[in-house]
Amino acid sequence: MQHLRGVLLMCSFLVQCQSASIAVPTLIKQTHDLSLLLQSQTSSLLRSYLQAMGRPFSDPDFSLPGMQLEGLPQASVPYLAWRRLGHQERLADNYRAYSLYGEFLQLVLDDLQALGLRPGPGTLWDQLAFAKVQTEGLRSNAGSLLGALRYPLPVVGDPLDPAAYGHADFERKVRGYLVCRGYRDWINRTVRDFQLLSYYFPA
Amino acid sequence: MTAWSHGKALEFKSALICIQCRAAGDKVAIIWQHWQLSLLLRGATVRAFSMANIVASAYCVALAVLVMCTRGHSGQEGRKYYKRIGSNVTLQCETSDSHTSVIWRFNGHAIGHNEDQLLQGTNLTLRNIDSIHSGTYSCHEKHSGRLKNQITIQVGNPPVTPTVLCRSNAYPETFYCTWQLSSPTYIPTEFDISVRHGEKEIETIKDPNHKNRCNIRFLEMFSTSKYMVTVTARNALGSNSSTISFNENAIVKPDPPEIIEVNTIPDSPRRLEVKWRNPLTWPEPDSIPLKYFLRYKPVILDDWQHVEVTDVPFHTITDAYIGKEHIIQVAAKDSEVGTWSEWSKAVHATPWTPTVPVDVSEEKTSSVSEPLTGTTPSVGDNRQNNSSIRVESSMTLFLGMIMILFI
Repeated sequence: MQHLRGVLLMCSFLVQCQSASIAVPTLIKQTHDLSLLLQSQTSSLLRSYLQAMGRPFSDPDFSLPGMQLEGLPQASVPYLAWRRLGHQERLADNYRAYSLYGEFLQLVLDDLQALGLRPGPGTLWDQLAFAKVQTEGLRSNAGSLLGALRYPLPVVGDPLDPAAYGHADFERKVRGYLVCRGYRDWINRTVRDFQLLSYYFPA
Repeated sequence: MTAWSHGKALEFKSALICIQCRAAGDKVAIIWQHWQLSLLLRGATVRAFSMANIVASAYCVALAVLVMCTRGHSGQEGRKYYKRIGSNVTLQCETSDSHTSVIWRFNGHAIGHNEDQLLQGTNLTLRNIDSIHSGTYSCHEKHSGRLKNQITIQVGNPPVTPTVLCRSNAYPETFYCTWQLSSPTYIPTEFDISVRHGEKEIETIKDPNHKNRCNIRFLEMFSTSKYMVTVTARNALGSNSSTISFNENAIVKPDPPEIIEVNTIPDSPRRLEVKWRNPLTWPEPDSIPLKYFLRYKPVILDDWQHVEVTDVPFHTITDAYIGKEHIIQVAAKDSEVGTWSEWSKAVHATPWTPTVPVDVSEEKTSSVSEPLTGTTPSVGDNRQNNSSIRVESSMTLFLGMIMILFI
């Protein structure tokens, strides 16, 4: 009898292992769905931000081409390079990107408070706070997938030092714009990343 | 060209480019407009009178060819002028004697004079010209008919603002831009395109198969910067340009898919199985997938049924009208961005209808419509089999486990 119990325990352990590798496709699909949901909001988030900042941000066709924020992850990548990313690199890129976007979005939230924009239902502050929480979800999912596939978690650098960034109102506004814009582009990339991953790990 | 021989001089005249060459003894003179070139031929070459003539004529021909070639390159054949529609133009006859009677001809035909086509002395004034006035005007001495001058006019317009359209049917590899003018210029017009991505100017390649189209490579995906495309139209009467800017996602629009098969299903009078394939221009359907939209209706009705199909290039219609011929089309879109393609070419099909079998061989040919033949599909059957196999195997597993527990 004891022999059998041991066998049963082994079976249940194996079943659990089975569900861990089954979970990868499910988690990939869930992350893909989450990124699609966020993608439907990123353009309006950017628009709300520009409107709230007033001119010249609220001018039609406002853009700052060629301007970047140091340390902010950029999504742009040549097609072939993107296509050739291995699963580990792809997931690690997402993990790193959303670790940093979480921090940058917090920086923007602090900037908004300094600019006098208050939290409240339906406000820009709330939309950004929601986005920040979602980036934490994306980071967590990417981390779980890396773990499930037995890849090491990438090392993300030191947290952002708010003191390193300028305090002038205009600087804060520009920063917020660059973060919202970069966030929109990274979500576009994550949507495609996870669509491609679900091709390799069909649910 | 006309040639006269005046005793020992030989004269060539070309009305088109007005070159005169004269050979007399050992001298050759070439006269063009108000320049004169005199050459003294040496020694033995001019012993014979005829030699000088030959040399002179050779010079003339060579110079005439040279002048005409350079004139041709600069876009002016003879005296060709571009004039704006609606403007007035005065053509001068250029005779030294302004009292000479002249007549003007248009493309060799006589011109009727009216208030819009006035003869003033030896000048012809055209008012309010239109594209029909394009042609060659020649001025002749009235009595001798001798040609005094010849002017070619092309009447047109400076270009209006060009209409520019950019689209990617091959995302993420390339996109193209096309341009056109909403109203014609009637005169030769050139186009110039420049494409910027953020701060950088990027390369464009003229499309060998399409007029007024250029192809551009995407250098990256998920780009922050917008693309800015400027098309400049230029002709002899003016220029105009137009600029559009866009994000890479906004211009993605695939070519329509192609329906390859519509199968009927025996004993299913309301079903049609539709299969299609991706447009050939879409470069990476595996990593950049498309989703589809199917529409169908009986030919005799007006209202379409629509179905969105993601992931797979086939779909089974289950609510077809019994016995009716249907028209079916499908469109595609990138699964994430851009707009829907145009509808594919329509395909007609009628679902399976029961017929009284006269012959076994006739059964298979019933309820089949051009150009696709109905075949017995095996896909539906297999799906059924697969699911039943799964049920059986899980049952045996469950029973096995229970048996182990009770031993």
